[in-house]
Amino acid sequence: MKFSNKAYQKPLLHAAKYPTTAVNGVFLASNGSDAVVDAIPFFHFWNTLTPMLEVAMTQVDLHCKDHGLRIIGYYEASDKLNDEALSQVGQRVASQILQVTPDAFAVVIKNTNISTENIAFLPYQFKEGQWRAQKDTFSGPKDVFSLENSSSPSLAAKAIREGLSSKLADFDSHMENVQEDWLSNKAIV
Amino acid sequence: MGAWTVIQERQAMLLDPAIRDWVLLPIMVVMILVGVVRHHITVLLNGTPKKADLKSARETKGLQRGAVLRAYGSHLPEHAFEARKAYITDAFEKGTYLKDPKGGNKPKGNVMQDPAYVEGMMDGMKKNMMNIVPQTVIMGWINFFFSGFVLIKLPFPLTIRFKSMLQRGIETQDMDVTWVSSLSWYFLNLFGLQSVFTLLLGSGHAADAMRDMQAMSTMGMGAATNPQMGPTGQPQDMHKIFLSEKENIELTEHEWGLENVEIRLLVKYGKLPRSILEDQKKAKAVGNASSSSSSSAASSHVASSTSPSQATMAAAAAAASASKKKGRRQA
Amino acid sequence: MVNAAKVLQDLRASAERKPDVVVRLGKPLVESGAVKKLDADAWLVYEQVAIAALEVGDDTLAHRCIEALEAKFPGSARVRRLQGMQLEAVGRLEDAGEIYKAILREDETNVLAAKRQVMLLRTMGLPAEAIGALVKYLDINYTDFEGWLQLADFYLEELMNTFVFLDQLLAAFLRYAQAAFCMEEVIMLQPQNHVFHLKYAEILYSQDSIGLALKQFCRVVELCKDHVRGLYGIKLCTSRLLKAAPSRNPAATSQEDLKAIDLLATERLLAVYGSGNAAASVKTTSAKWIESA
Repeated sequence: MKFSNKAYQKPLLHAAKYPTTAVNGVFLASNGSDAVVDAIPFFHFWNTLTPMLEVAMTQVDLHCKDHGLRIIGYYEASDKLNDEALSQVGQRVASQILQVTPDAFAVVIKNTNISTENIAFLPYQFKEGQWRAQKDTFSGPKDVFSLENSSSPSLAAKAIREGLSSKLADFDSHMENVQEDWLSNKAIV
Repeated sequence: MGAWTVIQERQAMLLDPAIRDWVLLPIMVVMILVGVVRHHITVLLNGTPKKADLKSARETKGLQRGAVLRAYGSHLPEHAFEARKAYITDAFEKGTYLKDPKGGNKPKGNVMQDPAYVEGMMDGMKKNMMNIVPQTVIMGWINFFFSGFVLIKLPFPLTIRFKSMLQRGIETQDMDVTWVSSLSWYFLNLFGLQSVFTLLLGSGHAADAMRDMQAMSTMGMGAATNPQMGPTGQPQDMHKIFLSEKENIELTEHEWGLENVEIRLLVKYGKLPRSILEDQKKAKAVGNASSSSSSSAASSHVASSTSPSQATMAAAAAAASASKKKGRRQA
Repeated sequence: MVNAAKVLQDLRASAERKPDVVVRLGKPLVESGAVKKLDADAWLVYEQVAIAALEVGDDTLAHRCIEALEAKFPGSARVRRLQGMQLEAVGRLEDAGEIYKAILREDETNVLAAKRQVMLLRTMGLPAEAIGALVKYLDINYTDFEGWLQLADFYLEELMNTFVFLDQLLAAFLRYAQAAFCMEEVIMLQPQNHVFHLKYAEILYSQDSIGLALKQFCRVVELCKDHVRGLYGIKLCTSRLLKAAPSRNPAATSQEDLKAIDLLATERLLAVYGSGNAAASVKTTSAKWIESA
């Protein structure tokens, strides 16, 4: 899984915009490749309930069909600073993605690394009947999880410092104001 | 012509400037000073606010559960309402929320032996004394030295009805209403210095004259500050209050606010005529009236009233859906 | 400067949680010392900025505010609570817990400290204890709707953690039922706030009580015209109910009404998306969803 700059930056901006609440969203890859090209932010009000998740997932599916993409992963950031475990809800959503996409993965954002130069993604993969955190990743291009552009973390930190996160829209804010473009977030890329 | 001269004469009345310097201003200054001093003394007296204790907080909040359920229970679906009703009536009956669930919180034989009660009463007395004594003293002072003084003339005309307010202590009928007597000046200050105190002491100050008025009307006891004291100052039997609240809850019929929310919404967006809602209301009233004899009989024996009330609900719902269709056909 | 103070005051009054805004506005006020000109409000601003700074992780700013408060009100329970939060922020959870305990020893009815204690248990990774403490708190402070809201969230987060010995679906159902109970209390205490009706509706839907959820979603749209999330909810419910066999429960919405409501929601959603300048891709995607649902 190679994360593009966009796919790395959006989840971090999402987490930075709502530091006091848990946020989540999904990763998209193009059909027939495992390069992660984009991320779509979902919720920040509450992410424990299913109805709007259903709506968001089906809409993203429709969006993907139009653009030759597929949902490949799930990300979330806890509202607790040092919490890097994949939540119950996260496991359920990720498992659902897994049923469609065998190479699905989940990412928990390390809140402590958000505006630093360090990698803030902690990937999870489903192995031996459980979602397990994958340590020793992002060290080089040969790893299972790697970055397309090695300067993505510093670019993301810079974007957060410049206050770009306030322009990010997720599905929650889109439903408050339908003008907000949660699918492509053109304002920040 | 005659009336004209009278007015001329009135306006010609002159006040000695010494009255201004030695009566008018001193009264005001004294009242402000007393207010400020009283504020500080009250702060000192209240220095350590009495700590509330957890159990009595639970007792009062527990009682609110019943009130909230009665007032807003209509927002809940029936199963949620009935579950709460059952729980709360049971808990109130058993006295779960009482400070002392086993003893039933009986009033003590002699309230004067309850130190908390006596302390509360003394506290109230002290506070009220702080309020009443200075005002009485000032009023006495004014009455003694300056009774019958005319202190000031208001620069605007007033109707005769203000006479009793502005010329207290002067028994003349002819004097123009705009002249203010010393005693009335005192009262004007008493109520009018409010914002001056706010300016001097900040909001929430304790020099509030309005509080004096309250103090006079509830003389003696700190009734307003202590919810557990009845109007007579006796501590009340909380269990009895809980039991009466329980009866109130048992008599509350559940009427779900969302029963026809879809129809309301369709009406709101103009998809259905407004009349459909009224039709439904009527149908419901008819349904209730037909079974009202059984439900009123049941209300005396409330514990078993759930089945008839469900029957009422079903009948009303059936009637409502019948009228719904009728209404739509008309539309 | 005056404007910043005004905005901060409004935020305090509305109890909105916008720590980034508070820090952005409050930081220059505190650092330049201009905050002192606000007289009595100054201390409220210090407290507000301190909490916001802790939330966004600006420890130096928080420290500065709390020191100023400590100098003004030494030993105050409210300031000590802030010190506790500061300890929490740097990870000294045990010490923070000691502070809250001490405050509660002096005054067992201190609401702020009791609430912090609950959140501390959660941060320490003891969700079951946090739920227990919160339930105990709510048994006394029944009217605190924020507490009920928090309890609902706790139950939702812990959806499948406990009750492992039960069937997973049954366990999930029980937890949703508990969360629903909490939301019912919130609704009784704050009946006019559509957000709470919305959350209740979504819990009911998650719990598979689609019929009830539909009514709650309708209530949301009734309280708040053209509420997009409510309309989406209605669409979800009606499409599921119309696909299922008609319910025999007399209280359930009739097929006829379901169709009318479904049409209404479709129409309103398309109208909402049609009127604004939503991005083209978002428009087409949502239109497709609305038609397919």
